[in-house]
Amino acid sequence: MRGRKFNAVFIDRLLYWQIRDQRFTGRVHSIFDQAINVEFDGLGLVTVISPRKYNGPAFIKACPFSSLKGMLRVRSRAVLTGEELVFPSPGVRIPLDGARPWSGKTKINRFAGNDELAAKVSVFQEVIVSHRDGREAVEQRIDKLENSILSGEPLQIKRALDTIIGLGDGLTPAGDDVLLGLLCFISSVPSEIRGEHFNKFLETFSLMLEDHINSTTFISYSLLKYGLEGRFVEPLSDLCVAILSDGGDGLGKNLERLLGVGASSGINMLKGVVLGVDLYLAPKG
Amino acid sequence: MIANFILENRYYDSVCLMQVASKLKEEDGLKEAAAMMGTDANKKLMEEIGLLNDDGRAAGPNDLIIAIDGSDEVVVESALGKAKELLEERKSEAGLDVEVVPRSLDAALEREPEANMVVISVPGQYARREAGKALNRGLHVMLFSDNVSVEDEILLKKLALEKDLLMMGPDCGTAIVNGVALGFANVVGRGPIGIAGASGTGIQEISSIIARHGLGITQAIGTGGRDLKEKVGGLMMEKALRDLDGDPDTELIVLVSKPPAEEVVKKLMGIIKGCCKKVIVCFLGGDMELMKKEGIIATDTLEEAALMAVSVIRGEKYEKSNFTCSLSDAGKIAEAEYSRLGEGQKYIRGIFSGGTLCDEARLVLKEMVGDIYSNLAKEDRLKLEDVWKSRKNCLVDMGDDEFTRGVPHPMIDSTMRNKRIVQEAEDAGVGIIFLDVVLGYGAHPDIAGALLPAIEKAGKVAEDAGRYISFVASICGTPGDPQDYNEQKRKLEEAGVVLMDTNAQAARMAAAIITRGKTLKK
Repeated sequence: MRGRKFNAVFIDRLLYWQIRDQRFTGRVHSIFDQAINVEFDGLGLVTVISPRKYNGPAFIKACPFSSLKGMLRVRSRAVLTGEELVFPSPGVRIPLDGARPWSGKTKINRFAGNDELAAKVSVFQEVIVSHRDGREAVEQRIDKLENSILSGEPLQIKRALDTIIGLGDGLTPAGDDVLLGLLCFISSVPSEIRGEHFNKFLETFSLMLEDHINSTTFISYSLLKYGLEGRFVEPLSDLCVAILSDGGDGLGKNLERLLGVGASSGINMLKGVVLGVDLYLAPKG
Repeated sequence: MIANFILENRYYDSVCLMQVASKLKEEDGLKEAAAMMGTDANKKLMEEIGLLNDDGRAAGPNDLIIAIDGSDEVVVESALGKAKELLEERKSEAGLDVEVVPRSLDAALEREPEANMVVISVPGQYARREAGKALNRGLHVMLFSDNVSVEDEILLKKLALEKDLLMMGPDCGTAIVNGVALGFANVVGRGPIGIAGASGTGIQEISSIIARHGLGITQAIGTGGRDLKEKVGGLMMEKALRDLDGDPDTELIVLVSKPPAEEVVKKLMGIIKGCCKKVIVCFLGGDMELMKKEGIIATDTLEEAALMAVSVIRGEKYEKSNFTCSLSDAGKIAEAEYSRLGEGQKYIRGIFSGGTLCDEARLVLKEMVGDIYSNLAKEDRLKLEDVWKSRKNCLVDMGDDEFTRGVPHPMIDSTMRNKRIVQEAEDAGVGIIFLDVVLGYGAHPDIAGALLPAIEKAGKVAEDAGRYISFVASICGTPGDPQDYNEQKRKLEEAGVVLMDTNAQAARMAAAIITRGKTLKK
């Protein structure tokens, strides 16, 4: 096929294994400044993203991104194999052989301890307050979710989830971003220190979330689905690891990166992370 | 009339949709508007606020709903057209040549390798690291962030001095460097006056008055509000003063600040006396006599500092006067107002957005009407116990930290200030509501327009109680400002606001009205 060739610089390792011996067809779902979302039959959402941005589940970093973006249109056909991502109608090829795999695996060397967690979370509270945008109705529902989750009552949590999934403007509604942040934090807590209470919550919450994720936008559904598999965008999982690790190394940098996710997704994810920390620190029983 | 329009499979980011909804709400005849994806939760929310109809109910989670509540069909149609236009604009903004906003200093420097100054606005706890990084790369810094410890401030300023760099801030909100306005600043042309200030609205008021009198500035260097405290020792004020003294384009220097620590005053006086250029000092509420004894030109108000600078540059004699207009005209204006006040209406309530403007007004009024309660008062007995409740003659700076936790600064969003204006009008003892209206970059695009509903409502509240409220204000801004100075002026005057040329004059006018003309000549 003739046409223009672009370079893939990173690929999500799991995505690479999923597509290695298969062929998927799909269409461009949406195009943004720094990301192109493609919906593949039988595979789901794959995001082609600018190398300036972060890695994430089912992400492929490709360059030069702005030229690539300029050649594609919403609904452009796409074919993905283990060898390349192709958009036939404008004639775009992105060979995947040069792409470095990104595993998304992060490691907590030494657990921070409860006092340190509490200190870190108090800093984040200030950041959250300084980012309030006046959308009272959304804020109120998020507060309600927080109370429900901290109460530990399954019925209350379910009711709160009903009102929060898909709540808010935009591509990934604020409510979903909060849930993703919460899910990421609770999944990042090492299993050996989780304790029974926390493990039980993670299990119940994941099941409830699974029941609800069809009620939101396709992109958000996909991110939550990946989240339920323990896969998150890099700035979110890196921040959770920095919070849980002893010392403040990388905390500021990771917070800054998280706040740069989406238009307002980062700050909403941070709310979820803080909720996760609060939940972890809450008295058990 | 409720109308829902569905755009299938359309995606926009949350900021874009918020902006669209907010712009739609400005349309005449529109009661409410929303632009949200058709998820169940959003539909429930729109249902609760009465914005959803059957069209909206049928939308799916991947559809965008534009929901409009307008007075009639024409309003609804026009709002829909506007929504489509705004979304289309956004689409083209997101096109090929769109600028990518850098998210780190490295990314910004990669894009602008020639840049030699960085503006930093990150949460305080990360500010030291970012500012240190910038200084170590040889960049001047304007640090907008607050909540930086004084120890970190000293460390950063010493680092900057070692490298002969400016470290403006922390908590530096205003600067104009080489003609470029940074933070909250006005459109001021280039000219012979250099300003160094530890006060944001102080710099704005002085530079705006200079601009309105046809002159300009070389630089306006902000130092951050704590620079002249004993611990920091005026490290950056000293550098700014020396730099401006050595700058061939600067003919005269104006220093502005709240009163510095005694040791710092002494140090600065020594440097000022050694300067080759004339220096005008405005340390609001400071010991002017001490300065004057040392032969330093010291002024009581921001207005006086600016006008004196203009006179010196023009080689004219500075003549102090209370008002730009004649005393008799000022008397007529005051009389027209106080003749409508009831006997029991004897208090002034100032609701400010600029801290230094509030302080200047407080000092002027103190001389004329006595005690002024304020959240900025130095004397414990005059400090407000509860900043949300005024007492007697009272001025509040609503830009102060205690009012802005979790809400935007009143220069950007007047919601809280508007509530307070109406609250003051409910007090039968209040005769005057005194306001500052700050224009310029960073400020609300139509701050006069944003204040008008509160001014009208406060007037109505008083009228319903058989009273009249006098509104006195000044505009801190220039004709070049993005808000259109003259249009802002027109809006306020049409609403019946007594608009004075400067904040100090507005304070004198407020005093003249509340004392029924007694302080006119004071």
